[in-house]
Amino acid sequence: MLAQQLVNGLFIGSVYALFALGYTLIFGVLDILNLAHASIFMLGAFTTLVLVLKGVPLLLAILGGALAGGLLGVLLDRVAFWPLRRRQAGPLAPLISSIAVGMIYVGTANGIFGPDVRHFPFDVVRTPTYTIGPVTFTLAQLTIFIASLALMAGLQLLLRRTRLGAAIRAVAENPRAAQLVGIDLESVYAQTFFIASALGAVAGILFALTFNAVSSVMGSAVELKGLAVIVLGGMGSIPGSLLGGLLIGLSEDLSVAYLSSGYRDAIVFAILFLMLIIRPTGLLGKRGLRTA
Amino acid sequence: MRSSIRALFAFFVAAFFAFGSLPAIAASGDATVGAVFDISGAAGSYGDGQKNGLQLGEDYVNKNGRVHLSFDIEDAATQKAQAVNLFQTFTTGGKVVAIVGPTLSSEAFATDPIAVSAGMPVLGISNTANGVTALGPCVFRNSLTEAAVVPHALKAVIDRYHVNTAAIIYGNDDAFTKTDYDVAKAALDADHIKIVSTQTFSKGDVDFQAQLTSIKAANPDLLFVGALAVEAGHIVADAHTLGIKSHVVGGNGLNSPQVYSLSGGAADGVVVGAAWAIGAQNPGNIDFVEKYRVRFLKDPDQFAAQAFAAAQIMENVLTAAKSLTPKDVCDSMKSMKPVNTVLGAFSFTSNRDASGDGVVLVVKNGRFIGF
Amino acid sequence: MHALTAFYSAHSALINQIGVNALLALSIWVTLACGQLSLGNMGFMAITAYASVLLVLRAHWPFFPAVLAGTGLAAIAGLLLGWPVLRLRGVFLAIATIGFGEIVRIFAVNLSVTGGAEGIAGIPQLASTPIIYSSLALAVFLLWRLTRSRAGRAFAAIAQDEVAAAGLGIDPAAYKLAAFAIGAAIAGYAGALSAFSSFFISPTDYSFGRVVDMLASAVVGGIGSVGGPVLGSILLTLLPETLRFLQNYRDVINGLILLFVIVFLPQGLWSLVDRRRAS
Repeated sequence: MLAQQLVNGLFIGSVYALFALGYTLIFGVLDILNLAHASIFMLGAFTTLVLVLKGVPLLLAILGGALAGGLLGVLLDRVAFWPLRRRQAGPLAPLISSIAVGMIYVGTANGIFGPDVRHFPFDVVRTPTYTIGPVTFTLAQLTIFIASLALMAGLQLLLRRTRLGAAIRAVAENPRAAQLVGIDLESVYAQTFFIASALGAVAGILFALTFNAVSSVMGSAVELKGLAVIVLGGMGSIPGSLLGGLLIGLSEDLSVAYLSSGYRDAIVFAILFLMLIIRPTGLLGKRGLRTA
Repeated sequence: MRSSIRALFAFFVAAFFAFGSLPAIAASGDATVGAVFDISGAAGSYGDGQKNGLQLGEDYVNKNGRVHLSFDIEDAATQKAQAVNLFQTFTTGGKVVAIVGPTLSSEAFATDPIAVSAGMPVLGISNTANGVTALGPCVFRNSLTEAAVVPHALKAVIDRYHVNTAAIIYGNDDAFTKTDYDVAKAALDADHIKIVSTQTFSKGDVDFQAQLTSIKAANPDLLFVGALAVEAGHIVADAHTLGIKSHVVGGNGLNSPQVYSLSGGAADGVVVGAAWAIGAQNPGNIDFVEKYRVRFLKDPDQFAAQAFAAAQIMENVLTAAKSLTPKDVCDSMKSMKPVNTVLGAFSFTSNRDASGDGVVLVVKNGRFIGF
Repeated sequence: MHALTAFYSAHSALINQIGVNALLALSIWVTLACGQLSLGNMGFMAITAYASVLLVLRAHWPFFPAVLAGTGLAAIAGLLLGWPVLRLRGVFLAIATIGFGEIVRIFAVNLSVTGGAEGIAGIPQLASTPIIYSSLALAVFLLWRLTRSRAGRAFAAIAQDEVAAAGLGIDPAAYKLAAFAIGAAIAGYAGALSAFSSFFISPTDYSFGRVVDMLASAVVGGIGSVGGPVLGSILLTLLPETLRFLQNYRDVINGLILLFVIVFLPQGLWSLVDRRRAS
């Protein structure tokens, strides 16, 4: 049973990690907590669902969902964060404007699709089940696990090996200095939002495909857990969100198996809380987060 | 800029007094019955079926012509505070003679005392928690509770198959599914079935692998699922993936097409104890299902059927009432003779609950048939 | 006069909700005034609500002592929570306090004394409209006095720049802790009033969405002065009642209003009232 629980935890943890990646990237670059991220997670899944139902092949539909997520992220930046950046508002204002856009996105999905849970046609998502020793999993789960890891590795490469990556890192380090060496801040912000939101949308699509359920409230399943992931792994750290995601996934499954399923989420939040008190920089974060 | 905001503010204030203080739909018939459903928000999929069922019922009653009835259906948006405000508007407006609803038991505990103190009869059509009808002498419901249907479903399975052990998985943060657990545990204990694993989940969960892996390790003969339709669909699908072979049993929450639409073929063999069967062969039900499909382009669920039955009950109650006042309508409900409804022959118990044992259904080839 | 009593009897529940929501918005405003974004107030609400309801129903305490005991409990919880988390800045404090609120809710679901998911029904209607509104008036008055006092100036200085405030001889930790405890006590007290005016409580009443509502009310109204949160609560409590016809699209309008205010009216709607009075 332990082996199966570990595998379950890794699968769900990889989706948490992918979702949290967008949170952490935006936080790392702009120093804001984007609470609209969960709504983009949801809209990515809906876009893919609509495309699949229109007969678009699944891979193309996933790409379409990711693209829509990225564009919604850029739109989010323009309407919610850009006006506040211009007048140099404090950290509270962007948090609230992201809540506002999240409400608008969720409300729009609710209005269009209603409160019902939708699902993909079964011939699209039905995949073979494998049993290796004591462990059972589906091809979909395995694909999602590998895809999540690949996307995270890709993002790491992008940040380390490309001009855009260098620009993003420079802006994250010191926006004013980056501007002085000729980096267009607004362009970097827009591209960061595109990448982060596209990843969040892909996380939503993979989540929807694994559990075959799309609904306007699906973001709330990961919204607060995503916070636990980035706090545990370290705000702004990409390997941190991978580690955090997998650890949160494992802690959920192990607390169900060996402690109590009723307190599963309490344990996640207790981990978050203790981490903030003992080591607010997280397991892999380096930024000084305490006030002087 | 500033003036536009002032205009906006003035608009909302004006809109409040225009819409908020009056029931939105003016009464046009002899009797108006208020209805408070969660048509939007988290419970919106239940309220939507209720609204459809009640609208169909209104047409049915008015076509019969024994009484002219109109329902004023309002949306509480799955917000307890809004359900409370709607009940207060209805009880003080002097227009309605009874209220149907609200959708959730947790709302009923907050709204029904308002109706009770105003002497307004209430007919719950989906409240299943213990104690709802005990709130007052004019609080009724036509929804069979889990306590009525679950033991029968469990008994049917235990009688037919070899069952020594059982596991329970239920939502512990929801009153309905928590009641499922209490009822199922009592029934299994009474039959001396050993409960080998008890697992919980939270509303909105989609991943049940952890709980089901633990259940699989305990290898029970029977798996009782205390869940609402969506979660139940996921549980059935995950149990199938993990290779759990136990007989799956559930209550009213599982009596929804979503149980098989979310889980594909995995739902075959799931046994459900419920208040209503879509395939019930009484003429009223056949007619209802057909009309519902034509008008709403989908199958009715139990929420819609219980709403339609509420219209049928109100037809008889209002016809027999001495006068169309809340007090006489309540008296008429208390002395109501059995009524033929889509739920079958219907009557209230002395505690104003629905009488009867419900039906036991099984999923076969993606539809519910008698077990 | 008759029209007035008729209006009240048709809308007393809504009127009570506005009063309670205004107190809740003030509870989050207190910490904001000190520069702290604390999002755990639904947890304090739950603590006082359950404690005072249980004291009345099970231990047969009278109403006011029970509510005051529950409020004291929330204040103590605020101090205990505030002491470790107030070192955290900005969003980290917000995240830690969200975690606290969720943990309280999960315990309410799992404990038997709280009735679990089935909640507690049959709560007597002891929090009348006069009680709610005199409490609100008192809270507004005391908080207004606070903003005019030395402590209020210290709050503002800390919110402006904590390091500079410390340089002026202000002890940020002590003032932040005080703001935290006051916020917790007001949230708890409002939670008790809400419980004793709505017959029924269950853990869903204390979920994350509740604190988002409080924050939105405070911000839409304006956090620059004590009148803002009250104004915001009136507007945002009435809004769903007027927008019922929009059904599933309602959240879009709520979101647009919030976004509009934060982008174009950083000081909230209250700044319009204030400006008009000045001119």
